[in-house]
Amino acid sequence: MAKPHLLYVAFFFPPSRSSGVYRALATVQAFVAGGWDVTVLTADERFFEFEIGSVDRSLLTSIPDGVEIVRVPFSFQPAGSSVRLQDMGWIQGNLPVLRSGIRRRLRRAREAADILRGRSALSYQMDDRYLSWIEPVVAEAVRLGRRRPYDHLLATGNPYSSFEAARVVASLMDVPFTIDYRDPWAFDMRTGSKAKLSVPTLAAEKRIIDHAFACIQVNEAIAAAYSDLYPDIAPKQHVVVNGFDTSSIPRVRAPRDGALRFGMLGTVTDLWPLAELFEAWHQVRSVLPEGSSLRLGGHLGYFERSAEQLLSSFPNVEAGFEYVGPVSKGAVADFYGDLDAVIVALFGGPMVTAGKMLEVGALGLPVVCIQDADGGARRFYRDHPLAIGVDPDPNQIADAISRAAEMCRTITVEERLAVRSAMAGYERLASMRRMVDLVESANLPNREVIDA
Amino acid sequence: MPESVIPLGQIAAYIPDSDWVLIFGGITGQGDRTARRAVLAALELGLSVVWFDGYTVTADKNTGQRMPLETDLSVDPVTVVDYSAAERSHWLNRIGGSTGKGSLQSSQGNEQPATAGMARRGRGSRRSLGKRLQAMLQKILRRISLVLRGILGWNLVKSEIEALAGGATAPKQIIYGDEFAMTQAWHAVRIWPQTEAGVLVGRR
Repeated sequence: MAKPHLLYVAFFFPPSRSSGVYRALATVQAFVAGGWDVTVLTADERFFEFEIGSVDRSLLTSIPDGVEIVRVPFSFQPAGSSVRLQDMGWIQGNLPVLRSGIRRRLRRAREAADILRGRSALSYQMDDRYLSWIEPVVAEAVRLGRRRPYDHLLATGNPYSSFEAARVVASLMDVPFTIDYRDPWAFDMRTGSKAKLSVPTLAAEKRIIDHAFACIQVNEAIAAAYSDLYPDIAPKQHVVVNGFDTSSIPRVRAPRDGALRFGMLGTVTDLWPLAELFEAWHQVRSVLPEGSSLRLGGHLGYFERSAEQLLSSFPNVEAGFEYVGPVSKGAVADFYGDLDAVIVALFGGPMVTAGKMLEVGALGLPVVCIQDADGGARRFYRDHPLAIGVDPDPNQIADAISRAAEMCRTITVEERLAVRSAMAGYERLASMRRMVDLVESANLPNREVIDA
Repeated sequence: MPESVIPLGQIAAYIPDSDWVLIFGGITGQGDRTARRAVLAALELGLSVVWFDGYTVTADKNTGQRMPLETDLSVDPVTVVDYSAAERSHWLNRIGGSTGKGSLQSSQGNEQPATAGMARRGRGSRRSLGKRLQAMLQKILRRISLVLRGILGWNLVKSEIEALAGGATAPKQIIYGDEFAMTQAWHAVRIWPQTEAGVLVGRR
């Protein structure tokens, strides 16, 4: 019997190292493990590497064998604008005004023709910087679908143009589709309030949800907010948390005496309460064992340009701070294995959780979670026996680090193993299996929806 | 190297003897602003500058004194080749009625094209056929002039660039400010193909 075929529309996919890539990768792994053939439609490597400079080639090795990757080019720049002078022809070099005038008129004519044919970015009445990706993705998806029909379409956003592309393809090919929100579209994740979207954009989201088989959210807070926003389609809302990779969890070791090592891992952004953390670190160092240190690992921002500003805000080595740079997926367990306690620094309210939150929770190490009291991660750690939640306030953070240091000395191996055992349900493949089950339920004869 | 604002034809006496940047500011206000930023960026890096300026901004309308850079030109190694007058007085621009700032940057320019008033008057209901034809011809010539402006600019500075190529090392960067200056930069990279070139190279 032939395997079911999934078309997965994921703009950010390896070698991109954007925040959403890990969930996209885990999704593909789960579907392959669940016996599906997967075709991924994603953006081109040129865009990731040269336009936004956000690439981690080691992620390519995590794509399961047999997955077909189809790259649909995308660029923020108008066609031809990035040509080097050395590569320009005589006409472009000597008659640039004439050339750009002709190109402008041709573009307008093409756009007008596209509108008449119902094929234009203007046909998609929604605000998104990636609208121009929809049309080529739809064309490519239809072409691939004619070669081998799909059993289901799954799109991940943002960008939310992926959702619209999935809706159009699903409608053209009469296939059910599901949308996986990595971030909420209609809400400001930081504040939890409604995002300032145009009326056509809100209508586009409603239309997509109406047509979708199911909507998947990364946490309960976002799913609840969507259920309140669209009560008539609340049953379509499901939660599949990101989960953690067992390969990122080191072996349990006995507590050690002497200097302690605190650490943080993740793509560092200026949204993290770093200033408060560094101030707290300066305060608390005197009460920690001599030689204790704070180690930070990860990329600095999602784009090349973010790094310089973040680097300048870091304390120096004399302050017991160490930035070790990006940590490849294969080295994550070693990074955690060298720590005595972990710090999770996040921003925002109930809707803000992070994949790292589960990974850190599963380590069985003391955790200091810095986020506002109603934050998603703070809520998650409320029942975690080794976690200390604090507001982004230097005094509170210093106190929490001090308490975590005390915990490091008293925690037993048995306690750590018990925490790991309790977190086993959040293992990534187990978590993502819920998404596979949900999608498979769309193809059951009675279309019974499995509550994820 | 001394600071200088020189007309066309004198570059041979001002060949840079250290690492330098070649800047084509073009003939528009936007190009001029880009060029000024590029000059300051080059000076911060300790590089000499040769700046071909086709859009001279005058700080004093009476004396025609140039708008100064935000740097001390008596100390910093900048040579400004001012070809704006030659550009504006070229026969192509006079025929086209698009005399530099007059047509491209009318809000900033001091001059109005000689035929602008004529074109406005020609729009009236009583205008004669002859005037309408004249306005149409003027429009066509203005467009031709606009299209050929880059080549004209290159022809004006070509001999200066050749003098630089004969006496100086290759510039570290070639920077251009607008579409018209791009033609000059395009020809310059044919002379120095290894040199990095762009609108503002190395800046995001």
